[in-house]
Amino acid sequence: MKPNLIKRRKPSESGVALLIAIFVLMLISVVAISMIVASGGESALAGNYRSSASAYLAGAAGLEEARGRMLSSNSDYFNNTVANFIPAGGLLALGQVRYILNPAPGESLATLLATYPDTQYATEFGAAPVAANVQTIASVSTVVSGGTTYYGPLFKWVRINAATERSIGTDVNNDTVLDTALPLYYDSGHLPLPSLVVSAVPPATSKQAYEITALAVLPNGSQKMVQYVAAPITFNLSFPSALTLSGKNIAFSGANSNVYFADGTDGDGNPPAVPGCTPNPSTSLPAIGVTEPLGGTGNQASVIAGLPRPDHYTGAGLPTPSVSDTITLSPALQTPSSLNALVQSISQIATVITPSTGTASSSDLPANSASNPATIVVDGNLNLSSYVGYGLLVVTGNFSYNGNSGWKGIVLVVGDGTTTFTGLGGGNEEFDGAIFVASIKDTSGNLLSQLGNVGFNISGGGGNGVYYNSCWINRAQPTLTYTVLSFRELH
Amino acid sequence: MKLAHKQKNQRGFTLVELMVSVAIFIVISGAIFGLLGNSQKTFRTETQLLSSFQEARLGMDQIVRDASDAGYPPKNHFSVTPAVTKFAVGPLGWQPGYLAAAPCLIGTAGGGTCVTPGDFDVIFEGDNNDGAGVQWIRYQLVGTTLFRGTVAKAAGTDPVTATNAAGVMLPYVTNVMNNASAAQITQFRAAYPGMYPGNVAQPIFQFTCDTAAGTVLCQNAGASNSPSNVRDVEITLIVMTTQTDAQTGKVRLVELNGRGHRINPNQ
Repeated sequence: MKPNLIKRRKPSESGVALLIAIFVLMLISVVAISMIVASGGESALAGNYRSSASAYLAGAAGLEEARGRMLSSNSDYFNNTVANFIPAGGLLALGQVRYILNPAPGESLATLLATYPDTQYATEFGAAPVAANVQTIASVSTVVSGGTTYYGPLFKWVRINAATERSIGTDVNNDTVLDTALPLYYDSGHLPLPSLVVSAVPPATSKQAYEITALAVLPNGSQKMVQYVAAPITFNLSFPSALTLSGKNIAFSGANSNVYFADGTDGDGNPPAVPGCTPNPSTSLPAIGVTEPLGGTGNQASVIAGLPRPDHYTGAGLPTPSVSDTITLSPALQTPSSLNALVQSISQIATVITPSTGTASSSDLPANSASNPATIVVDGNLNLSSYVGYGLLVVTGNFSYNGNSGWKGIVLVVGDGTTTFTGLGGGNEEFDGAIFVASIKDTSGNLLSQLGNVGFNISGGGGNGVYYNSCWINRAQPTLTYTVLSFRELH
Repeated sequence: MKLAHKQKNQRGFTLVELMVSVAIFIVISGAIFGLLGNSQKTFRTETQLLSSFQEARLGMDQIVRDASDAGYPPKNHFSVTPAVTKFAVGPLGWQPGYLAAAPCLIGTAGGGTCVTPGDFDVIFEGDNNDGAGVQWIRYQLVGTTLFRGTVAKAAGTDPVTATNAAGVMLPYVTNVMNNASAAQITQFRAAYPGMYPGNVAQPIFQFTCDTAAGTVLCQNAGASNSPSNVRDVEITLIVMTTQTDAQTGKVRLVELNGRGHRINPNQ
């Protein structure tokens, strides 16, 4: 019996130790848990601020993707993937809505707008967009490389649409009414400052302004909606006359053809219409403008003396022939260095042709059309044969044409000291927009300190003539970027 | 057998056993509570530091957002110029010369001609989409408190006068030590040698201006030095904990850096 009793005491002592251990453990656990809870709360606070900033930056990234992909020079240009995503001429009618969709892993492209509805559109326009007017495209922010997927910023969608006074909540023309029917344009020629304009007939110097809106939603639910108003920016070239010749000595031989005219009144020719643009006939410039770097009136006299049919040169209310030597060139057209800088800038976004034989022909030019004007730099001579082109054409050598040739847009013949513009043959096509001719380099290719001599010879006929057209001058100029006119956080 | 068993259980522990076990318990508990006490002091100090950090972060976040949104709507949104209360003349308000549309020169450490924007004072101008229209949002350091105030933009008054009205400016971030005295800076640098470079007060706000050659500090921007040309607002907040370190007795500081990037154009 006794040995049994002694054996029972040992388990009793172990129980005391266990109780003490449990007590101490509980004490420590309570303190530790309270510390974890406290620091956890602080971490959550820190996380909230980080989320806010992250959502803001994700939204901004979405805006920038849209702004970048609207440029036709961008390899991810919208229209390279979805035809007519940005309509011809860059005009997005009211009601037309474009979305970039950026689903996260596990989300569906098809249901993204249902998961993250765009309620803001109805706030801005009074109703949701009509489904038939909505086009979507996938974001390019997620990249797959080497078998690994790199997910981009966490925006969900970006909307691109025409802006109105009401949609941006701004009384642009200060008439106390927020217009809902007219899309806003950005007029780079507006005085005293370039600005948005609201007009049924936007000025020729204006481009449509877009509203770009992005929604970012983080996995923790943080949301941010941000918005740009953006508009295309071009070289903003303007010309003082239908045909402008700038140089020390001008050799001029006008056309004998009875159907050849040079006309400085806006839109007097017969080019295809530019969507969204109407020439303004009240804008009338000289048919031919010349500079007089040597002083006097020598160049003007030379041109007039070379005109077989003076009454065919009209514009600016001048007596015929309408030839002026009091023109004012825009800064980019004034000096060899500024013209050279302009040509270099254009070359960066143009299709540059360097003819191996020294002279390019019509077949060397890239495809272009009235709905898809091109930007072309021929680094040498160019001869067009029965060819009608559209866009911005720069020729650094001699430019000649024959047959039914013409151009809708801008022709800059800015060359190397032997620059001439030679039109030969008959034809019934015309040049609509503006032509500018100057010499900026010597025969060795060195930049001149002053503009050199130029020649303009269309004694062989050369079609129906040159007609100033502000719409085609603007249409021909490629968009360099979409400038941000404003930015705001919506919520 | 049953009785004998009961008697044995009533014996309990000896006095020696109890004394030894209690002594061991006291020693262990003392050690634990000693450690716990130290941990609590550390926790309290770190909590204060974190609290200061959070307060500074909150302030920083708001300043950055106000800077980013400043300048909306710009003047380029109006073909017919409306009343001055309807648009932002630029990202920042300034003094002197605001009403005369004569920009002052931004400086630092007492340079320049601007009273605001300055090292410890900035006024953002813009509509932050809260339904209040175009506002002036001012941050100003007074003593060691960074004040924040918002007031609707008004015609015929300048933003400094408007925000100086009673009740506009409210305490926002406390214990901001950017403009500490020389003695304090010496004390701080003893604990934080990397802070206060040059042994001088540190501006909360530094401004970069757009120039033809890029964006540079406004005081170096020459003819482009103007509140209208401010592109970035670089923000430095040095915040001190409300109490000294419970263990070392030294002050604890937090330094936060941020940058607000103005996107809206200045016209």
